[in-house]
Amino acid sequence: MKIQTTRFGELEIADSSVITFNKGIPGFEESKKYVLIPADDKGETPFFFLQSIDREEVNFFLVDPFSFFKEYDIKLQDQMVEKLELESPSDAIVLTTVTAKGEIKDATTNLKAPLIINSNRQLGMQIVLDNKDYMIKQPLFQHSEKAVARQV
Amino acid sequence: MLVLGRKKGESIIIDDDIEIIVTAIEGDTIKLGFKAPKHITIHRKEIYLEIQEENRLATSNVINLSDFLNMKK
Repeated sequence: MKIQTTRFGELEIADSSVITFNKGIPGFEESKKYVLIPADDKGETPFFFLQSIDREEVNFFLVDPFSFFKEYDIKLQDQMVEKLELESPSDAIVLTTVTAKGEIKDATTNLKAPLIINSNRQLGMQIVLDNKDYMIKQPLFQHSEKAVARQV
Repeated sequence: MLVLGRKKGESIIIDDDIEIIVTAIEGDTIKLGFKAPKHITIHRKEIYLEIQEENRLATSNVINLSDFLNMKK
């Protein structure tokens, strides 16, 4: 199928690559169909785009949080596993939204509310974690600098 | 909006299977307990609003992407 996007222009995508967010994404409840696009064709970056199928201008910038936060840990509640029809943890893709006002060094990612995608059933959902250590605005880069500083 | 007065220990039933209990009242803070089926999600509203706002900020048209895309894993 062909879709129109503001960022990429017209895109040809396989029907099977469409991911359904049955409840939409908070703030974008009406947009339920998305396609996940690696930010780099060769798959060398941890960044992704989640492009809405219905609204060409809606395109989330996402990161693989485990690339930056090795200790990041998610426990899915039973009802989430059921809603996402997850049969195996290896089917779950975890991504977090990235925001950056101004300079890249100030970029933050939302570890509090990751997006979980069942890559087998093509179902997605943004969940809210109870863990108080995970912030909605977790600095993406300062963290790694600090980690490096500790090692020194 | 429906407004109901409740005392400590009293509760409200919504739709047969959701119960909200006033468990404590301390000054201007009340503590609420929730009993609901598993598929019902319950959040503090401000967290939900923050996440909505954060999602809006994460749409790529408001981010300068070129710097990110030059980064390797």
